[in-house]
Formats: sequence, C-alpha cells, structure tokens
Amino acid sequence: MKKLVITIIMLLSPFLLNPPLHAIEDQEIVIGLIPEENIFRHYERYLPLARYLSELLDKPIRLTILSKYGDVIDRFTERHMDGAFFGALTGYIAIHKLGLRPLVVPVLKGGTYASPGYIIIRKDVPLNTIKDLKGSVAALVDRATARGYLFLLSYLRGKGIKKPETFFREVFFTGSHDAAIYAVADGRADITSVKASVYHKIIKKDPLLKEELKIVARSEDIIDSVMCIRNDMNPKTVKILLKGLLSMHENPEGKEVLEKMGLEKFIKADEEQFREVEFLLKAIGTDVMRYDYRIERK
Amino acid sequence: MRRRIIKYLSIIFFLFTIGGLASLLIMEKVTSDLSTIISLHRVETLRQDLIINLNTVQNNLFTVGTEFGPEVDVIVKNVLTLDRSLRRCQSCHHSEEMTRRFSTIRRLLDRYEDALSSFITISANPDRVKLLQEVAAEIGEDLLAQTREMTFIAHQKLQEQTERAIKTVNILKAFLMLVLFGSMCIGLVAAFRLTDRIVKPIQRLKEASEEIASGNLGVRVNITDETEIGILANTFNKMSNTLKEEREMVMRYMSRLKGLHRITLTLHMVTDRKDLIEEFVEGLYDVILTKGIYLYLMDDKSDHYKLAYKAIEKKKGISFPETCETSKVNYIYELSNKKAKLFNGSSNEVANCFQVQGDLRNLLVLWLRQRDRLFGFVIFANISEQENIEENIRVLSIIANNFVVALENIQLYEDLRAQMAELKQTQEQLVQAAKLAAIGELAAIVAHELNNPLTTILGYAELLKEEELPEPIKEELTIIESESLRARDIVRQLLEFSRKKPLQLQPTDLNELLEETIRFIEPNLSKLHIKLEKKYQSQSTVNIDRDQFKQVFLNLINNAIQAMPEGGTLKITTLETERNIFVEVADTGEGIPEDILPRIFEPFFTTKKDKGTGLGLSITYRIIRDHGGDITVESEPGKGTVFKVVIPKLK
Repeated sequence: MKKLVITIIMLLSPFLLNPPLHAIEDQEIVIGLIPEENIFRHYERYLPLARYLSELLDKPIRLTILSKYGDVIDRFTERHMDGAFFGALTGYIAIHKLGLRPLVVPVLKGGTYASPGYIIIRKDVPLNTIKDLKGSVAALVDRATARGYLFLLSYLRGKGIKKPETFFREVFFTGSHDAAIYAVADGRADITSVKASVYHKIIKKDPLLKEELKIVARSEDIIDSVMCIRNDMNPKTVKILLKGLLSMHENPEGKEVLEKMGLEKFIKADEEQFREVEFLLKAIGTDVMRYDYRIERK
Repeated sequence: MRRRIIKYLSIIFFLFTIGGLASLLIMEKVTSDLSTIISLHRVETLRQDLIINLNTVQNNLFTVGTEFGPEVDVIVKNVLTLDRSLRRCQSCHHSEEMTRRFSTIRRLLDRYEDALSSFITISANPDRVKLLQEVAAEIGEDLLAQTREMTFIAHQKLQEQTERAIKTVNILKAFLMLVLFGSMCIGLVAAFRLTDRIVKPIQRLKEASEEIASGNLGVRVNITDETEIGILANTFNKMSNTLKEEREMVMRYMSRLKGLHRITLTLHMVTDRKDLIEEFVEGLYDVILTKGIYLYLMDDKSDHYKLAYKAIEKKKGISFPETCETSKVNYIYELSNKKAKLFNGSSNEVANCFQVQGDLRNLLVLWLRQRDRLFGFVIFANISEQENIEENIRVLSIIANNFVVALENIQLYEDLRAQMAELKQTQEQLVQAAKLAAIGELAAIVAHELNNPLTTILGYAELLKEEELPEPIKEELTIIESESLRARDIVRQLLEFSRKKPLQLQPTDLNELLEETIRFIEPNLSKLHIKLEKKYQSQSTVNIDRDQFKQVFLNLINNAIQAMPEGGTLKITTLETERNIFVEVADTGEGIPEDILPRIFEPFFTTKKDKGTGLGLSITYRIIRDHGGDITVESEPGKGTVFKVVIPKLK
C-alpha cells in the first residue's frame, strides 16, 4: 500500500512541480525580452506595455529579460514564458524551432516596422578596403541577431571573407546593440554591426558620437521586432491580447503607452515580414533550422 | 460689576489670544521644521535605500553569471529600484550644491547602468569581461562614495534642523507654560475678586431674603457700591422697606378694623357701663396710633369732667389730670366750634386748659354730646399717624356718637332692670303674703280645732296624776302631760302666726333692744363655747313694735346659737345709712346648704326635725315685712351664715 502511494506521488510529481502552462497562464503571463539595448532601459521601456496588457487581461503580466539573444529561445520553456518580444532572427528561429505563433509587430515612429543594419567603424580607423580591417577587433551583438551578426557575416562573405574568426584578431559579443556601438566608440573594438534604430537613438542622445563613428555599410530593412506567443495559449486570451495590441493606438491610454515606447502602433505579424532574414541566412549558406545561434561559453 | 467681569475676562482672553497666536506662529514654525525633518528623514530613508540598492547591485555585479548569482531579472529590478530611488531623491527640492551632487550621481548611475548592462550581456574573453566588471565595480564604488558623502551632509543638516526644531519646541513649551501660568494666576485673582464681589453680596442677599421669608420684614443689606449688585441690594432694601411699610399698614388697618370691631361689638353687646367705657377706649386705642387716650365724663355732683378711663402707652411721657374744669372745657369746646379738632402741640392755650404735663406734640379732642348737651370728651394725645387725619376724625366722630347712644342705652337698660327687679320683688312679696295668709288661715283653723282636745287631754292627765297610781303609770302620765303641753305650744304658735295683731309702734333704740334680748341668752353662751362680738354703729331710733322685734332678734340669735353646736363666734352689728338701719346677726356655724337657702323663710320649713315647728323664721320674716323692712340671708357652708335686717329709719 505504502509503495502504491509513493508510486502515485512519483507519477504525479512532474505535474505537481511543473504545473500545466494553462494553469500558470491563468495566474500570470510571462513575456520575455531580448537585450536589444541597455537591459535596464529596455526592460523599463516595456513596463508601461506590461501594465497596459495586465489591465486588459485582468491578470498580472511579468516581464523577464535575458542576458543573451539566444537565451530567449533556449530558455523560453524553462522560464515558462507565454510570449516574447523577439528580434528578427530570434523571432524567425522561435517560429520555426519552438513553433511559436507570431502575433504582432511594433511599428516605429514614422510608420516603419523594419530598419536596416549598419556596419560601423570609428573614424580614426584607417579603412580603404575591408581588408584593412584584418587583425582588428570586432564587437558584435550576438550570433542570434540579424543586424548585429548575420548582416556583417553576409557583408564579409560578399567581400570574400568567409571566416571572420580568423580575419579579426578578436571577436566578442556585447549582447546588445548599444554596447556594441559604445565598444567601438570607446576603442575597445574597431568594427561592429548594429541595428540602425539603436544607432540613431544613441546619436540622438550623444550627437558627438556621430563625429567619431562612421557607417561603412547598410543592410536592407529587416523587421525590427516581433511578439510571438505560445501556440497553445488560451484562444480567448490570444483574442483579447491581439485585439488589444492592434487597437492600442486607437485609445488614449494605449496611445500614451506607445508614445513612451517610441512606437506608433502594432500590426499583425506574418511570415512574409521575415523574408530579409531568410535571405541573410541563405547568404551565409545556411537556413533557419541549421543555423547555430548559440555562442560558445568561455 | 459687568464691566469688572468683562475686564477680567478680556484680560484672560487677551492673554489666551496672545498665547494662542504666539503658539500658532511657533507651532507653524515647529510644524514646518518637523515637516522638513520628516522630509529629511524620508530623504534619509531614500538615501539609505539608495545605498542599500547600490550595495545589492554591487554584490550582484560580482555574483552574476555564477551558480549562486541572481537571475538577470533580479538585477534589472534592483537596478531599476536604485534608479527610482535616485529619481525620488532628485525630485525633492535641494540646494544648488545638492542638485549638483545629484547630477553627478545621476551621470554616474547612467554610466553604471551602461557598464553593468555591458558586463551582463557581453560574451567575450574573460579578460574583457573582467575589465568590464572592474569598470562597472569602479563606477559603483564611486557612486557609493558620492552617495555616502551626500548622505553624511544631509544627515548633518538633518541633525541641525532637528536641534533647531527641538529648541523651538522648548521655546514654545516655555511660552505656553508662561501663558498658562499667567492665565491661571489672573483667573484665580479674578475668581477671588469676583467671588468676593458677587458671591458674598449674593450670600448676604440670600440671608436677607431668608430673613424676609421668615417674617423679618425691613431687613437691610449693607452694600453701598455702585455695581449691579449694589443696585440690586439697594432695590432689595427698598423692597424690604416697602414690604415692611405695607405690612405695617396692613397691620394698622387690621388693628383699626379690630378696634372698630371691638367698639362695634361693645356698643351692641355690652350692657355694663364700666365695661362699655373700657372697651370703647381700648378699641379707640386700636383704631388710631396715639400715645394715649383719655375719656372724660361729666360728674354732676362735682360739676367737673372726671377722667372715666384712659389707655396709654407704658412709656407715655405725658399725663392728663383726673378732672377738668367745666369752664375750661367749654372754652375749648367753643374754640373748636363744637367739632372734633386736632390741635397742634404748640397750642399752649389747649395744653393749659387741659393741664397737660409732658411733651405734647398734638392733641385731638372728640366731643361727646347727648341731645346737644356736652357731657364728655375724648382726648387723643400725640397722634403719630396724621395721614388721612380728616378721614380718621370723621370715623372717630361716628364712633363717638354711637358710643353716646350706647351709653344712653345702658342707662335706660339699667333703669329698666331696676324697675324689673322692683316689680319682681313686689310680685314675690305679694305671693309670699298670699301664701302666708293662706297658711295663717289654715293654721288658725287647725289650732282652734286642736286646742279644745288638747285642753281636755291635759286636764285629764292632771287629774289622773293626782290619783294614787303605780309609779310606771305616773311616769307615762307625765309624758302625756309634757307632750300635750308641747302640742299646745305649737298650737299657740300657729295661732300667733295666723293672728294679725295690730302693731304697737314706738320709737326704739335697736342697740338697747338688742342688749335687752342678749341679756336672756348671754349667761348660756360661755357654756356653749360661743364668743359674742357686738358692734353697734347705729345711733338713730326706729319706729317698731318693740315686743315683736324682740321676738325677731331672739329667733335670729337662737338660730345662730343652734348653728354652732361646737361653739364659735356670734357677731351682732348695727349700721346706719341715711335712710335705713341695718342689723346683722352672723355666726361661724355650719352654714345653710345652697339648695335650701331660698326656702328658709317658708312656714313649717325646718331642718331641726323634732326640735322645731318651722315657723320661727316665717314669723320673723312676716314681722319685719310688716314694719316695711327686709331681711336677707347670706350663707356659706362650713363658714357660717349672716342675716341682714333692714329697717327704715324714722322720717
């Protein structure tokens, strides 16, 4: 008898210790954030949206930020996330590898939901051809970013450099776009590839940097960000969430939140919006399923 | 008083106002200081939070990424808390120095966040990571140092501010104590003064009111100040005085009514002249307030007005003579136009006429007239109430007229009573005479019828005694003889009582006749232990039947002796008036019971049982009445009896 009880408990323990996602979803909704820029400011930027959605769904919404881009994919399930704001590449990977459902795409001020990537060097770095950068230090954002990594990789490939690890003396990943820009600006690195919107934000904040940095190359517009959710999320919640996000710009409270986030509105997401990412992957000779976004831990 | 109360209250109110205003000002300052201190304390807390958060983040910095390090979310939250703490600190109002310091800290924090974020997100070789960690840690230390320094400065300011606030509070405390003490002192002084000036007079007023309630009208409260209490006391005194005057007036009216009632009752009820006069004058004394009332009535014999009655105060201080000369009275009578008049005391003429002695202030004369003939007057000396004097004189005159009528009625009544008494006496005499006549006639018949058998019995008894008979029969014959003799004596008396012998009148000295009578019984008196007292005061002779009167005196003296079987005093007195001679025979014997006293002169009435015939006093009465005199008897059981014989003197 005793053995039978222990056996039942053992069998039920996974369910007891890891409750079904629906159960957690009913208690709170966890939204993940990638470290697109300074994690503190980025987290703070999304707090108004979390509060807004919390009121909309009448349940708490907890934000969780990850220190690495790739972590959002690796730790989505581990952290019991219901959804996350992904970058272009991480979003594309999540849709395909985790089977998440793309929900909405934020539209930036000016009406665009996509922005290019910039390859930036310091102006004091002598550069006539790309070959001049050989042996320099590259500060990249993350392997799981389109503009912070794939773009530079495809750019270098286009210039005949197939192994950037050996081309540069050192390659390190700052984890965020702004850190990458500051790394170049501070002289800790010579070249970087970042999201143009982050670059312009930093330049706006610190105009002197514009004099110190130089944009070497510009990519095609790539989707800026995408919010994906679990595919098995409560349809009623999904409906409210989708409707609420798409109509945010139509009510004052929502408009105010969008204003704080520097956004104009949200639009519905679809796979077509990831076309450029797919091209970039193809350009470096891979696809989404084969691409290794993980950075080797040192 | 009201002003005084207002003054005291104003001072207290002023003090409280000053104290209150000053307190308000100081409290405002203290509140402001306290508010600042509280704010500073809050800021201090914020700064402490800032430091704590900074330390936490610094710790996170060295543990992040390790097995025991926190999740990025935790670090993010800590940094955001730190950021918010700094923003809250910055949002407060600060001096320029503090603003500058906060700006520095802000910049440092921004840099710290950047460094921290870079450190957390970086994926590079360990040296680079280490470098970033050191940079962040250095900025963090710098930030901590800056914050601590600022906290120290703020703490100093807080301490200074607190000391200042405590000092202000102490000043406020001292000031409030001073105001409260001052107010209390003034309040106490005011309370004592007001109590002294309000409660005590009110207490006196209460006591005086109680005295009035207990009937002591006219009581006064001696409060002379010009406050409301003084006015109240003055009004109270007036009220008390008015009540007293009103009561006195009521009492005077009551007294006057009582006097009038007394007089009216007297005039209608009293039938005795003396009582009438007394009640009349005493009644007048109640009617009008005066020191004395004197009633003078005409004495026809002396032709003077004699004082008949007076009602005077004990301490009179004034006196009037017992008699007044008619001429002088008539002079005043004429002087006053024969009407009641109030004379001033300064009128020496009146004072002299009435021979007044003492302090005469005024004098009211009320004339008593009978059919326009002045026969008396009433003097009211020193009338103290001269208000409505005319009305009083009118009332007194009416009363005087009624008095005169009442006096006249009494005279008539007395005359009527005398006549009635005389008539009654005559009637009684007639009845007695008729009764005696009838008895006499009966006695004569009885005596005549009994006399012959008695003579026969006595004759045969004497004849038988002369015979030789046994001794016992002789003794019985002796009894028959003696009893027959006694019966014959009774018959003789009856005949004598019934027989009307013509009076043998002759001038007789009653003293001599009494002596002659006494001579028969005097030798036996000593044996009977009777003391004889004689007092002859008459000198005239009376026209009487000497033998019959001798029998009268003998009867009275014998009765007196018989009334004193144990001895006593026999007192024989003669008196003489203008018209009559009185003979009194008094004994100190047993006296005659009151119930049989009216019957002692009736024929055959006796108290001596076998010893008397009951004709002695009847014969005595008849003899005296036959002489136009009278006999009365006064007796008191146990003390004795007095027979008074009145015999008219010779004309």
